[in-house]
Amino acid sequence: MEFSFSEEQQEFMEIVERWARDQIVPNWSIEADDKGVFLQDSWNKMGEMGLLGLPFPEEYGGSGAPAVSLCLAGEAMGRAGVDAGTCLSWGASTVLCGVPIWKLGTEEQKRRYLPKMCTGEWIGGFCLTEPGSGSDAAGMKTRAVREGDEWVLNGSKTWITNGPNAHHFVVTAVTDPEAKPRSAGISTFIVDADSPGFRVGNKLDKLGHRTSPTSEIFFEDCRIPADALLGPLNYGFMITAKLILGWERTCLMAPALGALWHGMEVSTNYGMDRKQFGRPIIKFGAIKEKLADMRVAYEVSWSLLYRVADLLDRDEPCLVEAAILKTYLSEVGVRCAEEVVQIHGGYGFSKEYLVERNYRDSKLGTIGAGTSEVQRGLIARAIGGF
Amino acid sequence: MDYRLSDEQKSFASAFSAFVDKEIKPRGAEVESAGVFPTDNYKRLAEFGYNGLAHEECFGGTDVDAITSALAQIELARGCASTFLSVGASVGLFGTPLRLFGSEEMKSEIIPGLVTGDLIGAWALTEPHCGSDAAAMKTVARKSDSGYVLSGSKMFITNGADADWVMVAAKTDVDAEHGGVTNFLVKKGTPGFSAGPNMEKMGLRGSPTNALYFEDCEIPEEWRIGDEGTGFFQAMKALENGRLGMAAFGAGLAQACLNEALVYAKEREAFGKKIVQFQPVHFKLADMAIDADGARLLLLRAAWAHQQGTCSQALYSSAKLFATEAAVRCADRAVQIFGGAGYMSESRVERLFRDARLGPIGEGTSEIQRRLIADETIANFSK
Repeated sequence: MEFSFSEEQQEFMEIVERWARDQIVPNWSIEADDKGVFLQDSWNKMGEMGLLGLPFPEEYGGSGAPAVSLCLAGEAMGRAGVDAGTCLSWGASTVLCGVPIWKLGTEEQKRRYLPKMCTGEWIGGFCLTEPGSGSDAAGMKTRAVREGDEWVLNGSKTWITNGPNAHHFVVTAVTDPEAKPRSAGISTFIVDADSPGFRVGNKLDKLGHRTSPTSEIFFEDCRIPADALLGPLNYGFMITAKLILGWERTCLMAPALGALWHGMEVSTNYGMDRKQFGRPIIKFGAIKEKLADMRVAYEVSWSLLYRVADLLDRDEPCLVEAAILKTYLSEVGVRCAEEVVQIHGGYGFSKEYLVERNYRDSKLGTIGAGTSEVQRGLIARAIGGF
Repeated sequence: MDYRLSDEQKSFASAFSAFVDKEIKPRGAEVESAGVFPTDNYKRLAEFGYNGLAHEECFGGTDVDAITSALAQIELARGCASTFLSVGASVGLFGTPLRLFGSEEMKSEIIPGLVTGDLIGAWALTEPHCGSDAAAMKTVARKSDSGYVLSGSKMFITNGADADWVMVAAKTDVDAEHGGVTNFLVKKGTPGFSAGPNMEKMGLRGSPTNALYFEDCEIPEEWRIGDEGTGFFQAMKALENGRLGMAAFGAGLAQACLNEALVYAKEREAFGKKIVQFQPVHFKLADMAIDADGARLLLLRAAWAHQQGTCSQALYSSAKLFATEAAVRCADRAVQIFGGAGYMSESRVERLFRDARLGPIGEGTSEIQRRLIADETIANFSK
């Protein structure tokens, strides 16, 4: 066992954190958050920094970095206090859309999409959830029918991160409605946003992650070429799900790990400055207990997160480990963000200190990428063998 | 980054786990009702090699790495918490500071006996009026012509009456706080040294607890451990291992609760189904799995850092705090899943529920751990 990073990894993390504080954090503003503006400047800089293509092979413009390094970069962004919306758009493009293309795509598909995703020129998205199917993803209705040299898609998807601004999407659709189980009749496609019959719905208003645009997507006799199929016919969904669930529940959660650290930092700084009853409030046992609980939550989450990243890098199964991590980290994320607001008192409830934003942002964790309830079901079935 | 156990660690842990299942776990109820030091288990564990895991080869130990030690401790705690506590107090709480700070003469006289299970040790820090605030101790060691004279009393001492040797913290300089503390060895039967009866307690009844009394107890100078005034530092070093030990106690108990609840939930039927099929039950099992897994992983990480010499106080304390509180949560859930059967003393979870409650108190309360963690965190951000 070795619970530590290499020197290069450690250095990389410090560089990303410093750079993010300097170059990324200032791009966010209360106005941008209110209006739900995607921070294009941050995105471009992340492309220049190499974050958008971190895990992809160098020949496609990436850095060939292991999952551990992708998580390190995510943690560094969270530590720096980067808005969770920007991190979510990053995860949706690089991990949810990019990883399936990298792992399942043909040489042509990889050459066409990955280099421009690495630079940030093209943003990617992932279309799985539908108005009628969330946790029960295999209950999707969107159909893809082969017609000559084309696939014709009909249906709709919802809560699609980067929906309004992505260049292309990895889309799941039913190709064999008779299949048993249903998941064995679902294929995966790459759909460009300029395909005929592809329509983006209105941008959806939401509690947090407001700098990451979300929308519905409609497929109305949407025609895509036959070679837009990603992975094997009828099995694309199963393979993609298996492939990205580990990545999604780890790399997309890494900024939340960093956010725990950031919460401790701002709480400490505030608690040292803020004086009540003649002393800094950080000296009160009640405040220290909150801080200690955040630290414990961070240390446990750290241990759980980098374990899944290590398993990913070794190509070993990590479904249960990822579910444990995701459930634990997302739930302590909400609790800690709440305590950070509590420590800041009235200032925490105002928009002035950003901790209000972080509290709102934290809530997505227990819902996205499989709710806590779905995770607990998965964990219990795995340990119980039922 | 590498979360894999080595082949040796895996095979040792699985062999020891099988041993615990066969030799230790089935005797849990018996050990509890006997209410005395579990001598048979102590000997069995010595024979397997458990007692010597953290002791030097020249004294019969195997001096394994900290992760192997932690894995073994988790397994023993899973099997029998009382045995874990008494054996740990002897070979660990007492044995570790002796190994680290004792003279070669004292080590060679005592450690081989701990390893073979022929000698029992105990560690005495807490006093009737001071637990967490250890520097406020009143036990005094006055210098005499031939050594020291101990006066005072100690409280809640595991193995206190059974121990052949006790390590006792006393003030050699009553005006100083931490810097006035020195540790001494005291042999059972030394005039002026006596132990009270086994105290009755909530759980861990198979691990005896006593008050100790020192009334003008004369001891030779050779029984002093290290220099005068170094006792508090030694205690803090001992508590690094102590916290890892209690983290293992928590991780092991959390796992035991999960195992028991899982078996029961798959057998018990209600409304025509096994109760494991009901989401409120299987969500509890999932929460127990998260707690047990987190506790184990954080402990292994702390043990690894301990071995490297890089473990921060916050990490020792986080491992201890999380695991012991996780065990209490898991024990509560296990009793709940068992329902009425879990409230009855014939179920193992009733005992686990009582046993687990020591975790957030022993080896530094949760409150003290949180203070340490918070202070270090504040310092981290104040650089």
